[in-house]
Amino acid sequence: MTRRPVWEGDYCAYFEARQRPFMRTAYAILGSWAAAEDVVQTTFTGLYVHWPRIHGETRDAYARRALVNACYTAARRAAREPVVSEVPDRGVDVRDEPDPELMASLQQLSAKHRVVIALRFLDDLPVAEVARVLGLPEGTVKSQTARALSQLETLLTSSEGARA
Amino acid sequence: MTIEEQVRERLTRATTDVRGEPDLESAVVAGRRRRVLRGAGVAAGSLAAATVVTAAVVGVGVVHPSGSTGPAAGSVTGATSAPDDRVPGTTVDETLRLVVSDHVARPGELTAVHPSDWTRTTPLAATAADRATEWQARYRVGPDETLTVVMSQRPADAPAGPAACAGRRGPGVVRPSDIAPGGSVVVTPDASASSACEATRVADGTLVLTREDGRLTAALYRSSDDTLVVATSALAPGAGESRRVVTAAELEAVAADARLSFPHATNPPAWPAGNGAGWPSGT
Repeated sequence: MTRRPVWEGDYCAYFEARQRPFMRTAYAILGSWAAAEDVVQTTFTGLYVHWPRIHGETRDAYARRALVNACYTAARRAAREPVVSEVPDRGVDVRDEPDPELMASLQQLSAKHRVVIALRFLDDLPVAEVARVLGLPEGTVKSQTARALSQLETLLTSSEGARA
Repeated sequence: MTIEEQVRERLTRATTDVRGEPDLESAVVAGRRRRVLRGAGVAAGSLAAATVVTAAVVGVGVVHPSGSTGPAAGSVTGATSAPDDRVPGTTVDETLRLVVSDHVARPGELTAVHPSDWTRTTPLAATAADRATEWQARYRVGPDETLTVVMSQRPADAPAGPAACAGRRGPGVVRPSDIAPGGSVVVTPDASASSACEATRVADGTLVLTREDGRLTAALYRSSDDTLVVATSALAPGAGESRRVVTAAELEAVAADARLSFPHATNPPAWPAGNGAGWPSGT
């Protein structure tokens, strides 16, 4: 079925507006551009499927929630990947990261802590909006954010100490 | 600098150089495919039913018109009932709902979907769905708006084509008599009245959009499969146009969707003289 629904233009405009911010959020959570690209693609495919039922005023919260869920799934899948004794013949193209310490430290946090860090400090969402996206009470978001920040600070300090 | 400020600044810098991007075309193509798969229950039922119908057209007594485009809107025996199947034994109700959900962003709550025929204003029983000459689905969009989608086969013995624009004429306006049963249209320019009706010739029919007394209606009579689809958004008396949620474009998209191809009853009842010239009626 290749028929173009009337709302598809609206969807395409949303895609254009949100693909880069979503890539950044997913990268902050997953620590890999390739994985981020995959989950954002998955998220947008899912959004297309349900687009006519997603109301404009709840669209961002819905999309972010879908993105976060896709990130959780990807993180779980990555954790289940088998350990092999030999590395592949040719590695993936890993280019320089602007802040390897930060990304390495983030990866040592739990997935839910990376999510609250990304939503609060990269997407700049207020606590109430993060609570809405994650379906959690605001108090829980505040406590998780504080705990995640504390752990991240410790990790960053120790990595800077090791480098010095 | 606090830890919050540090994290905010470093995160922003670390993620500024976005490498690789999701592809819009892939998302759209995959999304379309998944939408189709999501309706797999409906599609599987339709395909199974279509296969059964093709093999047993004469015995069952239901004919899908030749030359129709897109998947069959459904029919008859053997169809598997979806979990929320409103009319068991047929997939027409699911197809109606699927088409509405695909084109109308906020259709609201489905209040009724049922078969009928042009001799009655009441629903036919589900067991008599294969004798239906009309189907309709109704939605309560909001407190001031309803959406009704009616599809009908062409009554061969009706004296005229579908009612399009009642009474008012303007530039590019058509009258019921302008639309021939074959779908062709004769437009007589007349600048003496406000334009309450717009007609657009499409591939195999004429798409007519009318606005009258709080009712916004898109109707398409498709000549290739003798199907008329009428989608109407009606506002409650006194409700202003600003209260309307369903758009003209959405109604037109529903009316023009080729999936709404009527599963014609082979021996429909005679067209009652009391119905008048236009069709559908009695819905």
